[in-house]
Amino acid sequence: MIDTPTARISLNDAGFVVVRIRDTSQSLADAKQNLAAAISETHGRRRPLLIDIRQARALDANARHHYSGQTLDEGFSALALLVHASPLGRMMGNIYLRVARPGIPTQLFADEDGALEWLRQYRQ
Amino acid sequence: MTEPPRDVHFASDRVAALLEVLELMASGDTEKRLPLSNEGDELDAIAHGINVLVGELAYSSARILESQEAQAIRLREAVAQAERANAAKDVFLRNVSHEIRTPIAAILGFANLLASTDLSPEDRADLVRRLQANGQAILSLLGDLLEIARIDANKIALTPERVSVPEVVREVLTSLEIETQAKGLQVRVEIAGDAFATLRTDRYRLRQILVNLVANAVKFTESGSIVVSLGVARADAGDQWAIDVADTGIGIPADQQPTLFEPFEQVDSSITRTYGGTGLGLSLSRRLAERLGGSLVLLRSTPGQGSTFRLTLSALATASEADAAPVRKSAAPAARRLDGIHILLAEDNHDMQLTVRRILEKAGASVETALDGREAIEKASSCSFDVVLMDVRMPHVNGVQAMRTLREQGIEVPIVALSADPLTLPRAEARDLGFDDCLSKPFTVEALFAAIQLVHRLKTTTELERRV
Repeated sequence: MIDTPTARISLNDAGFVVVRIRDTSQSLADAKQNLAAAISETHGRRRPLLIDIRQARALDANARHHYSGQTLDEGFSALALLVHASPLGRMMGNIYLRVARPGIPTQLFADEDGALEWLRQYRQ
Repeated sequence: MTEPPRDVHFASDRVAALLEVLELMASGDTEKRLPLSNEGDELDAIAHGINVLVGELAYSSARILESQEAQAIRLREAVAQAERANAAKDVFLRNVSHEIRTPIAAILGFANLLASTDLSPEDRADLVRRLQANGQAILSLLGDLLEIARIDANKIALTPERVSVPEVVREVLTSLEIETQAKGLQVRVEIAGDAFATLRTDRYRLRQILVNLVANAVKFTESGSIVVSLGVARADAGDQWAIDVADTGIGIPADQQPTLFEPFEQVDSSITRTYGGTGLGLSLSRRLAERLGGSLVLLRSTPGQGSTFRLTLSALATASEADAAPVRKSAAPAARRLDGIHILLAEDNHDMQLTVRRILEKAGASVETALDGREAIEKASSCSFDVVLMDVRMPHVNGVQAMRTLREQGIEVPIVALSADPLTLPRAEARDLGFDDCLSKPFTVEALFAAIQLVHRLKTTTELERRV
C-alpha cells in the first residue's frame, strides 16, 4: 500500500489496483505521483484499476490529461471509476470519460461491489 | 407578502454567487472557478461542468501558445541557419572567385608575354607549360565543385573491387614524392599486423581521399614527418579498418575544428591566402568516405605540433544496381592521327570551334563546321560525315534536338556530344539520349581522339557486318 498526499493506492486480493482519492485538490505533480504509485503496484502486469473519486475534488486540466495519457493505457487493462451517486458525482465521472477518453474499457459506478464485479472480466 | 421558502432563497444566493464568478470568467479571467457547495446537486454539477469547460479552454490555449512559440523558435533557428549558410556561401564564393581569378590573371599575363616576338623557344615553351598548369588548376577546382554536387545529388557511381590498401597508399605517396622531397619531409607507412591484406572498396575513390589527405599534410607541414598508419579500427563490428594520416605541421586551432569539413565554412581566409585551396578537399573527402561506408574525422590536432586525420573504411557490398558503374578502364592511348576521317563540328563558340578544328585538321581529319543545331542538321543531311561532334548547348536548335532530328531522318552518323556541364549531361545519360558518346569540356586532345576513333571504328565495324 502506498500513501501519497492525495491518494491511497493498494493492490487488493483480487489483483486489482485500487486508488482512493482523498478530499483534497490535486496538482499535476500529485497526478504524476499517484499514477506512478499505481503503476508500481501493478508489479509489471496489466491489471484492472479501480479509482474511487467519491471524496475527490475537481481536477485541474493538466492533472486530468495526465490521468488519461498513454501510461494509463499501458499499465492497466480496464478502469472502473467509483463516483458519488449525486448529480455532481455523475457529472465529474462523465466529464472525465468524455474529456479524458481513456484508451481502455472504462465505466462509472456508484457502488463498489458492482465496480469490482465488472473489473473481474479484465483480469489477465 | 409571503416570504419565499428557505430553499428558494438558498438556491438564489448560490445562483447569484455563480453568476458573479461567471462574469469574471467571461471577462477573461481563466484562473477563476465557480464555487461548489457541499450539496453535490444539479447546481454543483453545472458549476463543475463550466469549470471543466473553462479549464479545458485554458489548457488548449496554453498548448496552442506553446506550439506557436516552439514554431517561432524553429523558424528563428531556420532563418539564422539560412543566414549563416548564406554568409558562408558568400565567403566560399569569394574564395572560389579568388582561386579562379588568380590562375586566369596568370593565363592572361602569359598570353601577353607569348604575343611578344622576342621570346626564345625555351621561354615560349616554359610559358606554354605555365599556361597549361594554370588552366589545369581551374579545371581541378571546377572538378571538385562538380564532384561535391554529384555526391550531394547521390549521382556518384562506385566500382567495388578487391583493393590492396598498402599498395594504394604507396602509390599516393609516390605521386607526392616531389613535394615531400622538396620540403625534406620524412614519410613513413606503418602497417599493424596483416591489416589490409585486401579490402573490397572503390580503388579510384579511395585514392582520391588519400591523395587529398596526404597532399594536405604535405601542404601544411614545413618540416618533420608524415606518417600513414594502417590498422584495424573495430574488428568486432566486421571489416572496419582505419587509415591515419599524421603530420607535424601547423595544426588546426580548436575553434576551427568543428567546421573543418563544412564545404562553405572551412577556410580561414588567411590560410587560403598562405596555402591556397578553397577548402573543398576535406569536405569532398568526407562525403566520399561516407559513400564508401566509412567516415573521415580529425582525430587530434594541436596548433604548432600537427594533425592526425582518420579514415575508416568498411568493405563495400557487391555493387548494387544504383551503384553499378561502368568499369573505369585506363584508356588505351589513342592514335595521334585521324587521317581520312570526315568530321562535322557543330559548336557555337568561335574560339572553341577554331581550337578543335585546328587540332583535328592537324591530325589529318577533314572538318566542316556549323554554328548552331539548325546548320548542323542542314549539313549532316546534305553531306556524308564519318563523325559529328555536337555541342549540346547551341542557339536556335540545341545539340540534343539536332541529334534527334538527324536520327528521325534516318541519318546514322556517329554523334559525339560536347558538354560543358557534365552534371546535367553525364556520359551514360548522353548515351541514353541517343548520342554515341559524350565529352566533357574541357577535354584533352587524347580524349577527343579516343572518342572519335571509338565511334568511327564502331561505325566501320557495323557497316562491314551489314555487308557480310
